[in-house]
Amino acid sequence: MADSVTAAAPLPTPSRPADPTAGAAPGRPPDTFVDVRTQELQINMGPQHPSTHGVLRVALWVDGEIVTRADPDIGYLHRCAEKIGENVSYIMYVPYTDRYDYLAAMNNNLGYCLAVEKVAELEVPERAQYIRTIAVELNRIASHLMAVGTYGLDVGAFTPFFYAFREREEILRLLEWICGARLTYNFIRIGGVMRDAPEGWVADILKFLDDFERKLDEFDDLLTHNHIFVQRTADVGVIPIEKALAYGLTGPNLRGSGLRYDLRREAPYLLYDRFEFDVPVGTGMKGTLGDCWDRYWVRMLEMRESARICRQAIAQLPEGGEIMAKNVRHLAFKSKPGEGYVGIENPRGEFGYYLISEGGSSSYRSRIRAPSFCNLSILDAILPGTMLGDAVAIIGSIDIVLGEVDR
Amino acid sequence: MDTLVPHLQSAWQWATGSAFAFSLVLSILLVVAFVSVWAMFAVWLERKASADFQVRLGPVYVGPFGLLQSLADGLKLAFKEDLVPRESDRFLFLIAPAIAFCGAFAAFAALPFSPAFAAVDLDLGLFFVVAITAVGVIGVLMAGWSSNNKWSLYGAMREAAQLVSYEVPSALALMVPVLVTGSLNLKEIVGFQCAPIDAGSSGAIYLSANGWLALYSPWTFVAFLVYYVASLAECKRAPFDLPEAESELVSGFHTEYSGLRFSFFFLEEYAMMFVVSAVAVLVFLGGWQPLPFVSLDLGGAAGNAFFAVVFLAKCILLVWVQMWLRWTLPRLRVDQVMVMGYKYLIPVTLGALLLMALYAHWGVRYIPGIV
Amino acid sequence: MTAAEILATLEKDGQGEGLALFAGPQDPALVVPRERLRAVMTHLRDARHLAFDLLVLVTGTHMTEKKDAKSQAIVREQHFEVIWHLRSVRHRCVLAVKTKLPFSDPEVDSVADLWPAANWHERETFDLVGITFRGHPDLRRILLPDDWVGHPLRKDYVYPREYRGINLEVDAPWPTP
Repeated sequence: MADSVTAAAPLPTPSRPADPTAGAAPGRPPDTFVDVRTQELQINMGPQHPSTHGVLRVALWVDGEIVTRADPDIGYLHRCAEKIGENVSYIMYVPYTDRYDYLAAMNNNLGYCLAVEKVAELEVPERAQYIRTIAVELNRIASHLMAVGTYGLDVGAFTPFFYAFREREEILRLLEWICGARLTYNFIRIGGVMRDAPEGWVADILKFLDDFERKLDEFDDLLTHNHIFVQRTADVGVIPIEKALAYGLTGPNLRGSGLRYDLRREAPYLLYDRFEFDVPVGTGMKGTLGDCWDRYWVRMLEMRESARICRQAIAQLPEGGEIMAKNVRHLAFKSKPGEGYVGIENPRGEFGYYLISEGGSSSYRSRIRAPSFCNLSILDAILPGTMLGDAVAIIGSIDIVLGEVDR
Repeated sequence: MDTLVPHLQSAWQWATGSAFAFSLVLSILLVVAFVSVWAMFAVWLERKASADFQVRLGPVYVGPFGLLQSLADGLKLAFKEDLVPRESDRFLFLIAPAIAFCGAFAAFAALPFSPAFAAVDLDLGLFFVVAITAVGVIGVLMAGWSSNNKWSLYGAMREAAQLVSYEVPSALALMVPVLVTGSLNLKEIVGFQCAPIDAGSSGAIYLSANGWLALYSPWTFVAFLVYYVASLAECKRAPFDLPEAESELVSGFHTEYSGLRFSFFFLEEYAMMFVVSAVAVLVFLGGWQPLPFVSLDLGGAAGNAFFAVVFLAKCILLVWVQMWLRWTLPRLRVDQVMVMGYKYLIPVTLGALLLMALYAHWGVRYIPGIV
Repeated sequence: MTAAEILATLEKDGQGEGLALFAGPQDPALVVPRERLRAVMTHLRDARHLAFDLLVLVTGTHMTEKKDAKSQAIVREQHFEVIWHLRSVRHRCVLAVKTKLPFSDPEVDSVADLWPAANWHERETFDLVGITFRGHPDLRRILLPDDWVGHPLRKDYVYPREYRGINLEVDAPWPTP
């Protein structure tokens, strides 16, 4: 992985006048400015780094503090998830899906299960769909809290991280109550969900949501409008809409550039067409449209929208009902032959699962469309020209999780 | 060896026999003891203060209120493996922490804790403090360079740029009180702030003519604020903690240090925090006087002890505010740090100096109704 | 717009030569022969009434030979398939475009200049399946180490026994010191 990267391109020769002391015109005294001989430094924002959000290596060529070239090097967390999908049965594969984007594991479960249900033509009962929605939106809030908290850490604000995690602790407690795990849930199963909502779960969620908006306002006071934070993130890492679309950016990154595109609206899955919610976009409020602050702001607003959806889902939750589809023989689940692609709105973008099935109990080909993988490819286009501190801010604002970049 | 022992004996006789030598050695030992205890206390304060701001508890187990936690951590650091990277510049790597620490530590010699407690009464006290703390810059540069680590080099280069740049507004801001009081002697500056209104009056409590310099004139207040901000940059504290920017540089210049050598950098940081806070307190906040416009004149050991306690309390308050700023604010980028230093702080402080000089020429402190 | 409608639109636009529809169970797909790929992709992206401006996914698959159980006749030759999923933001639809590549010659044109998103997807397909993309600016392995041998997602992939001196056999004993 290392060798070809360093040998890839020759160092660009800096431009300097042939004779540095020659004057601008003949007969004039020599210029007092002599071009200082500098050397480009190749530095690894290595796999071990506090700000790369995982094992990501970005090979940077820097001229002083300014990045001249960036080459992200991934694969440190590659666990052959797609090959395993061919060897392991459909039912057994659900825990593997948790481990791609481990911060939004419910969404991964959901994407996979929707794809299998599409190919196998299963129908999920309504109560299961509502519980799925609640779990997925709570997970979205938790994932965004992690994203904004660690983004504060990246730019040097140590305290907002704790405020974000205080709320995240509560969500993790709620999710642990229903499925037993805090991070890799394995909750949304093929055909429904694993377990029905226990007594008091819904009431606790409502209690949490009642307080949540106020806590978000507190967080806004601390970080969002802080002058130094704005200086660090506004006008930094501007991604225009055309570039975002061309590079396959989705999710808050695309919406931060101004395009109101959310798969929950454009191609509704689950029951999203029954809920009222806004899709926030970046407006260039603090700087240029599509800068890091806009992407961060979209995440902050999305948390509020997720809280709204949760409340509506809880209000519409049917009293009783099945939580698992009929005719799902768990011990011998076989799918029908066919091909299907399902794309859902992960907290990081469009999570897609493309399944080629030939009948049988395991897939013929599983292909995972990981949003962070696609979002990360824009780094070598926007990092050159920025400073080192900006590089950290940009990587943090794209919000990657290496588990799904590498799978 | 035979010629060494008589020399040692005569040195011992000199140190214990002559009163001056004995007091010199004693004061050095006292300063060393104070700095060590202060560092441990400051680490505890930082952890408790940050815990408060971050809605958590901080150290609670070791000792009452976790006060002995720093001692335990110091012991742990002492037992850690002393790593010296193989490709590093060994000599520079080993002496860098010492130089950085001595720069901050030597400034304690000139700080008066009360009218009677001062290691050395220097006429050039303020100048000495400003100059000697600049020696620490070299130690940090050495540490970053000799680590043979590109990230440490970044920390060192940023630190060189930042500290050298912020020496200017910091020293210029200190020139404003020097202009007003006409002296570089720290005791005299405090004396100016607690000079009585009636020259002939005596007694323990009296009204002071000038009061604290921070409240003396708008321009000294501006100088106080500029000095405080510039001193944050001198201590490499957030929002100016680029040299050790944890999220970017994995610890910056002290990445490769571990164990006791690393603790020297820690000691240096907290010693510097105390020094700059002490200078701010002495020069702008009335030193050891508890109230701004009413001064006390106590003598004797008890009085001086009281003054020392007041002085320490004020220093701890300023250090706590530094910690408060660190845990609240994000970090500035390096070019923003430079812009702030050169384009904002220096013009402001030059302006304050100029205007203070004009006011002093006209003999006024402030113009009522205008500024 | 479904795949059938898009095929009809392409035929109307004069790009329909050689195209077919894979109506298969669940998602339909547009089957494009290898030579027509770039022309069709360019048209799909640039035509205003199609406007597929978001490349979602590039998948490479190794389809093994399938024989009929009774007559042992070859139902499906061994070949590679590359499937592109495109999204149109304006028209709110998703389209799968497929192409078949012969097993002995897994090469296809790159679309990295049409959608820069394809850059990394094509590198990954090359890395894991072994399909080369003509015209790709920087085709090298992305997930696996640069000196890895073989393409793991092929069905005939044999797991290596060691890599750079590290023993990879599952049931081998720990090396004795």
